Amino acid sequence: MYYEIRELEAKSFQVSLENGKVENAKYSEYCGKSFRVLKNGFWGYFVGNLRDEEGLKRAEKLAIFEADSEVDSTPFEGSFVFKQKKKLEDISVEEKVEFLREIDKILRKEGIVSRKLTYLEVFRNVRIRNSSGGEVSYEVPRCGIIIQAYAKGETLQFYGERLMKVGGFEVVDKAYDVAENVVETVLKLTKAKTPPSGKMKVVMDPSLTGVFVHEAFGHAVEADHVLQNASVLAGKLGEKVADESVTIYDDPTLEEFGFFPFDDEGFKAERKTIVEGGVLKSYLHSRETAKKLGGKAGNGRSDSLDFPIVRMSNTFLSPGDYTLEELLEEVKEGVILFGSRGGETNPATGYFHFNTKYGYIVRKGEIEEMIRDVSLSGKTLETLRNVKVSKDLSFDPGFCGKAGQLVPVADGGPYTLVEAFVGGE
Amino acid sequence: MFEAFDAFEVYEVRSKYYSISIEKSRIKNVSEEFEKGYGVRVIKDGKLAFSSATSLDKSLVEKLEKLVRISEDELDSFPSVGKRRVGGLYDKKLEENPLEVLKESFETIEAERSCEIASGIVEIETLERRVWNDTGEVSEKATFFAVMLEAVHDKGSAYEFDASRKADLNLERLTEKVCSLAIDDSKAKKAERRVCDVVLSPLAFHQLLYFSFYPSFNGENVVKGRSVLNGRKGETIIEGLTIYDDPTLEGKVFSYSFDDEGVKAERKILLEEGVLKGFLCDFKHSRILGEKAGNAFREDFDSLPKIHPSNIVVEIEKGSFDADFYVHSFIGAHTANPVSGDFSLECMNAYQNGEPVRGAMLYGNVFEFLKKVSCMSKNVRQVENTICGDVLVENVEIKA
Repeated sequence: MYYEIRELEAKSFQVSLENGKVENAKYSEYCGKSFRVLKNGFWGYFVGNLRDEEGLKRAEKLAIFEADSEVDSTPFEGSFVFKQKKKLEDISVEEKVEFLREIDKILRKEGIVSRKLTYLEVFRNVRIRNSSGGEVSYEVPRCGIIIQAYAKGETLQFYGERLMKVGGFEVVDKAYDVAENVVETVLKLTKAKTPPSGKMKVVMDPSLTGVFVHEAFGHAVEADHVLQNASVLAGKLGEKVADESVTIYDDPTLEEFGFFPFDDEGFKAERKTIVEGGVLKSYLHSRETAKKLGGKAGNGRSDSLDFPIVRMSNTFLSPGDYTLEELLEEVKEGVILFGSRGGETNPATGYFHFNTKYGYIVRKGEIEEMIRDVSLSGKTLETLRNVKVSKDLSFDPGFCGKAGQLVPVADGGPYTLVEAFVGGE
Repeated sequence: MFEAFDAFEVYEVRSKYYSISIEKSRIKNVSEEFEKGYGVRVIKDGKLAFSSATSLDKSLVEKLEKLVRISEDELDSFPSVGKRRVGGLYDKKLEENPLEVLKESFETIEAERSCEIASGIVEIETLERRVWNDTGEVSEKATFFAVMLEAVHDKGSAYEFDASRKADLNLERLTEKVCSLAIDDSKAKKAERRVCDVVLSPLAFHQLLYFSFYPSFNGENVVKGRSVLNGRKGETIIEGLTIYDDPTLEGKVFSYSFDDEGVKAERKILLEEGVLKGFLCDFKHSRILGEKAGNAFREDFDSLPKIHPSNIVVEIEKGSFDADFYVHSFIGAHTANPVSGDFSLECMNAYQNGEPVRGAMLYGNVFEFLKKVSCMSKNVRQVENTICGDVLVENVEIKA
């Protein structure tokens, strides 16, 4: 019988400044314990504040069926505390609010009809023990700001950006620049046109590239999808699945929003090479899928005290040799697209569909008029067969949802040139 | 405990949650989760603050004192609590024998499946909510039963879900349906581009409305200049369309006897024969807009109450019809623009002239799109917040 005991203490603070007013100020504290028992190949899972022995008994009682689950039970030991440069505890709520007011000044421009700034910080303290003698604990702070503005011109439009990472108050240092960009973009959006539609050459910015890699590729290499036969990449290890210029990593050790020192199964975090030179190298694994498919665990994550499942961390497409100008030069008639308002992929078929935040028409390599509400869709593998990659690299934070659980992640990449289906009127 | 403040409100939840996960048609785990927590709001000098914790103690009060100093969230009191009698929200069987119901559910799914159930989850929750403030106390015990299935066959896939307050879900029908959609999808051909009448299933219609239409009726969005319906009460928005929000319906998934601020449940008309009649509000925004409160929802004890629809009933002329194109669900519905109502969505499990197709896309603006809705089928279904039938939309451009 294998078991794990996980203890979680989470503290969070959040406050918004909406149209100049301090609203939704909130402190939350959460404290809880989960127990997981694997017996006869079947998981019993109990969440509740009980002592170790009672909790384990309760979980064991839930293992009422027989199945074929097994785990890589490798124990790890260690404790980790993330070092903040500007300690969140040392800055008063008044100072945090003052900071929001400074940012808000940037958003107060003619044409802006509504403004919303949200500051948030979360401390996560975790301790995980298992039956093979492993014991790990860590404390990781996350901090961030979400900046949104609404503008009215020919149409009512909104635009927002998020700046979120692991770390202390230093994370939001760049918020001033982000706010400038938000204002400029939303004002232009009110005059933007609806996009053309059809299959065409598309330059994706680093943020959209990141979402593409996360949605269209990352989910398909989550080994639970592979085991369920619900992945277009099932059975393709060692095969060429993309252009030679494509190398994709998932790296929880980077100090981005998806950082963790140990996963929620107490397995040590490390960088995983998913694709190297276009060849599929590995899937992402939990202790269970690693055992079943012969991979390396370390991507078992959980929202609060939910059952850990295979998740990404910081997933990115590695930079290449081109400059953005060189990529644009290859576009006779196409678009350049920025950011993502969300996306969805069917890992079983490889169909992806995203909505981008905005874009521009590109003619003969020149960036021309702005477009809005542009969607991008296609098939993952077809799209990645022909791709050119720039030298740049940057990350965007977000919360990734799977099976009703949200976890912090970051997606990244360079500018990329692909061919895909662009949607619009 | 809250003497330092002018007014207080405590929201307490106790939940017992049971679930099974299905992976590759096999049952994988059984979970049992007990949770208890408190969300407390206080008012001091007309300003509001919130704090939550798994136990009610002094440190929570200290945090509230800190927050109330910086808050500019204006509110002078909490609402008078009240409760309406709404039947069918609780099923003793779900509370007392959850494991038995979960086991039976899995057996039914296993017996009825005609292809692989790649993943699935069956959930049962008993939720006790209690709200108390200076005006009194209300409490309610409710049960939920929900199933989500994802079927895969060859290169085809589909998902379906259903929910109820009782142990009465028709899992034979649900399993059969999701499997037949996945099997059809495995034979799907490329969709052809054309302009034709389109039928949206209740699931597809809900996905469209939830992300691009309902946000405009949110009172907070209206107050803050984030709704295109701001200032248009009394105007005709979509001719012939009636929609209302009704948490008092017996046994519906989003029904309640009081909302998460303790306000007595009440029906609200949003559009009547196309004319804008009202907005959805929590207590604070109901005061500003002069609307009824009663639509405050909390995701959990640690969330602030936010405006959200309960059961939205859609009323359109009913009849029977045929159309060349049928959409079961959309991919990426959450990417629609919640402010302008613009959307560009990919159809999943769609049929063109009765044949399964892939790669079809619908574009447009929801306010324009809804003007083309002409008819709804007689048999209605609830999908999350929306209660409607199959919806016929005329002259829609299908892109492929």
